[in-house]
This record gives sequence, structure tokens and C-alpha cells, in this order.
Amino acid sequence: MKDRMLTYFAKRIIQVPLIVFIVVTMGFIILKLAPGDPVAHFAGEGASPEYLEMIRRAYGLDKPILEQYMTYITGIFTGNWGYSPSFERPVLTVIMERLPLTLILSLAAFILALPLGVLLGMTAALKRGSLIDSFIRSFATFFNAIPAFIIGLLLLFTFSVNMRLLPIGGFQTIGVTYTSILDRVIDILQHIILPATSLMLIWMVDYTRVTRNRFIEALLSDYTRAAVSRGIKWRRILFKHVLRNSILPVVTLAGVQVGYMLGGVILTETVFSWPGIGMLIVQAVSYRDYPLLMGVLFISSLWVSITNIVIDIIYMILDPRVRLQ
Amino acid sequence: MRIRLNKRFIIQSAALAFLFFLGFFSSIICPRDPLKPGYSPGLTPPSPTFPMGTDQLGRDVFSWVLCGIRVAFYVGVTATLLCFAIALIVGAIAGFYGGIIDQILMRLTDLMMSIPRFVLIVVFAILFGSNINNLILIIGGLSWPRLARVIRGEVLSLKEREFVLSAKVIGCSDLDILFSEILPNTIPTILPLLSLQMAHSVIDEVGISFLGFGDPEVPSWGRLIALGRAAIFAGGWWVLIWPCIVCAIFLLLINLLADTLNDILNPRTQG
Repeated sequence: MKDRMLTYFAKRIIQVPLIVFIVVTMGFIILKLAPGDPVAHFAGEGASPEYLEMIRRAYGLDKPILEQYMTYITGIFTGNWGYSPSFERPVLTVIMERLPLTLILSLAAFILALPLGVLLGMTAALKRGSLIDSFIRSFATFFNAIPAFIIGLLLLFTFSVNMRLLPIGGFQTIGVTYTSILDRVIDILQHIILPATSLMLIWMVDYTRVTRNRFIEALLSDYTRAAVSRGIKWRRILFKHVLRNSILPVVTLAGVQVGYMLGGVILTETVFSWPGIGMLIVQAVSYRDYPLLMGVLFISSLWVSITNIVIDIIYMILDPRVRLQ
Repeated sequence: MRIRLNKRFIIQSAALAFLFFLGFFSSIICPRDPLKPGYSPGLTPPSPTFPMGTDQLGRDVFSWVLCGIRVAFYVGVTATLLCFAIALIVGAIAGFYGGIIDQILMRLTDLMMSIPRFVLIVVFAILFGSNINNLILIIGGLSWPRLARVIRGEVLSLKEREFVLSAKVIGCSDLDILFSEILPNTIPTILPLLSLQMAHSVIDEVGISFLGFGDPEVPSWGRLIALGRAAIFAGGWWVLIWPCIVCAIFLLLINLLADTLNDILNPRTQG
């Protein structure tokens, strides 16, 4: 059985470079087909033909298209992701600078959202039909409907502009010398609290809704009734039977959220000028910085594929039925 | 199949119909051209003349918000129909015929889902132009994979059911079985999802416009919200708050309606 699991994972892991390869190829084709000349856009209006020619040569755009493609593909797998004209630095360097900031923001939101959301869902399910239940349900419906960036804008207006309690954006205060590491942490925390809260609220209620529904199903199920009639302690039933049986959809949901994180944070990062991957995408698009754009597409699809594999592994650990198949 | 009309359903759809009415007649109702600047000096606070104030260029926020309803409905409905059409074709064919066709279509779906949708929408919007109809094609054309998977799953389970098998036995053609036996039975699952898809399409368009990649000829809430984000630092809260509130109400109504539809059509999953 262990062999079978290993072969399964080997297969899944081989799929990753394959998907990435197709994504990169499609991206390359789309960018080549797209109307408009990125070189002209980059050089600005009134640039001389000689200057355009020079840029083309500098970026290897004068070579035949197939050769450009081969160079790009080999570059992707050897860590040379090209050179970003708008940042005037290698694409990989720019992305690696921004990625940690997005990870800090979204993980902060995620780590709070998951347990709180599940807890709220459990509470609602156990008090089904009560005032608390309907309060939690309305809360969940509300934040499920409204996108994070609108919540973020309203938080920004209330707490930063109106009450002047928190900074209006960015990752840390510009031009400040910190006296200690603690100072810096507090500064970053003050900056992260609003964007993280807006993401957290949106993500949290997803778990609440799923957990509530599955928990109710599990509470009404035959195995719960059987466990009760066998005289097992209620607390043990809740955690050993009910929670365990309702956790799989939560894991699926977590996978979707983490996987699409890089797309999900674009608007929220823009609202709070949080200099992560999301803002980088917007910058790459506005400057028509194609090498950077390709790099961002690449890292997003890589992120989704890796998350999917991790979720598969967690699934196998949690659900013996999947292991046996 | 009879939809039993319950109170929630009536109230919510009436509210949505009212919004639709406002949007449909917005060009008659709204007092001023939403995109024409100079009705007042910049950032005039709300007053009887300008119920929601004016923006930095003296444009009437009330007219913009009102006409934004029409934009939201236009984008929401058309993008959702496009998304549904593609998802239906892909999902029904993959589920019904199975085998190699199913494999190919599902790998294609996986591939589409391996890039965050909003990233792709932004990239396409800037590459292929941000005319509102282009945006609709992009949003609808990139949103179908999830729905296609659901439809495929439904078709897959329905085609083994007895009433489908008996239709096959009495010699109905494939198309007949698909359209008169299988697809009608997917409606309870799909209808709430379509309603949600409409909300997602609107969020996508508002998001794109908020980033500044939207259609400049169209009074989208997103662009007004982006103006509002700048205006709040100059005291112009009304430019931000009003479009946010109306957009939130719109999205909330659609979501509530989706929940209600789900409760009515799929009573077993009701909480």
C-alpha cells in the first residue's frame, strides 16, 4: 500500500512541471499575440527607431520567436526568469522581494480565519436555532457576500482616516530608525492589522458556513447516535467523531483559499498599498512589463499546484478511505 | 417542478427587481450625466441639489451610483450567461460521453484552474482592451471551470439513474436524453450557483475598474470607489461610502437570493 501511495505522489509531482510548462507556454503565446508593442510602450512616445532597435536587441526581441521561446523555457527551469525593464532588476529578485510580504499578510489572515471560523461554525451548529446561531449566520452571510477590498476600504476610512488610530498603508513607516527589534515588530503589526482583518473576515466565514452545515449533518448522523447510546462522553464524541467527520471539507476549502491566495490579495494589497505580489501584478500590468508579468503568472500557477499536492497529502493522513483507494 | 413561493423569496426578489428597475431606467431617473465633470466645484458635500455630493471633478455621485446599478446588472447577467453557456457545453459533454473526451475537457479545466482567475482577468483586460464588452467576454470566458465541474458531476450521477436508463431503453436519442431527462434535473443545483456567479462577475468588474483597468466610458462603481479612496484623505467620505454601500446591498441581495433558492430547491441540505 505504501508503494501505491508513493507512486501516486510521484505521479502528482511529475504533473507540476508539466502544468507549469503549459502555463508558461500559453502565457508566452498570449503575450506574443497581444496587440500593442511593449517596446514602444516602454520607450515612451517619440522614441527614435534606433532606440527601439537597441532595446529590442538588449532584451533579445530581435531573435526568431522560437529561439526566444527556447531561451525563456530553459531560463524558467534554471532560475533565470528574465530581466524586468520597469524595475531594472532580474524578475526572480523582484518576485522574491515581494513574495514574503504577501505570505506574511495572507498567513496572518489565514491562521486567524481557520480556527475562528471553525469555532464559530461549531458554536452555531451546537446552538442550532438559537439567537446565537442566527447571529452567526447573518454575520457569515454578510461577509460572504461583500468582497474583502470593500471591507478594507471601510476599515481604512474608519480607523485610519477618521479615527487616525492606524497607519493608512504600506508595510512599515517610511524613514523611521527603529530603536529595537520590538519597535519594528509593533510598527509592522500596526500596518498589517487592517489588511489582515479584512482578508480574515472574508475567509473566516467560509469556514463558518461549511463547518456549521457539516457539523449539523454529523450531529444528526447514525454514528453519533450510536456513540451516544454507547455512553461515550459527549466531549469525546464531539472531538473524536463529529469534528473529525466534518473536517475534510474544511481542508478542501483551506486548500482553495491558500491556492488562490496570490490572486485573492490583489485588491486588498492595493487598498492598503501593501507592497506584495498583488501590487506587483498591478504594477507589471500597468507598465506592460512582460517578463515580470510572465514571472508572476508562473509563480501563481506554481503556488496553486504545490498547494494542491499538499492538500492531497493532508487528505490521505486524515481520511483512511482515500489511503485505501 | 413547482417553486413554492415563500416569504423570503418574494421579499428578496422584489428588492432585487426594484434595483433592476432603478438600473433599467437610470438614464431617465438620474438627474445628471454621471461622467460629465464640472457640475460643482470639486468635492461638494451632500446637499439637496447633490444628494450624494460630488467627486473631485465636480461629477454627481448620485447619478454615478444610480447608473452603476445598470452597469452591474449588465455585466452580471451577460458574463454569467456566457460562463453558463461554456460550462454547460463542457460539463454536459464531459459527463455524458465520458472516456477520452471527458479526460481532455477535464484536464483543460484543471489547467484553467491552475492560475488564479483574477490574475488572468487583469492580464487579459490590459492586453485585449478594457472596453466593457471585452471585460464581459474575459470575465465570462475565464469563470466557467468551476461550474463546468459541477455540471459534469451532476450529469455523471444522473445518467446512471433509472429514468435515464429507461429513456435509453425505449430508444431516445442522446440529445433527447440530455436535454429532456438529464439537464432539467441539474437545475436545482445550478440555479443558486448561477446567482452566485452573477455576484462574482460583478465583483470582478468592480475590482478591475477599481484598479484602473476598467472601461473609462462606463460609470462603474469600481472607478468611483477608486476616486473615493483618494477623496477620503481630503474629507470627501461621500465619494467612497455611497458606492460601497449600494454595491454591498446589491451583492448581499444576490447572495441572500442564492441561499433562498438553495433552501427551496434542495430542501435536504437546508440548515
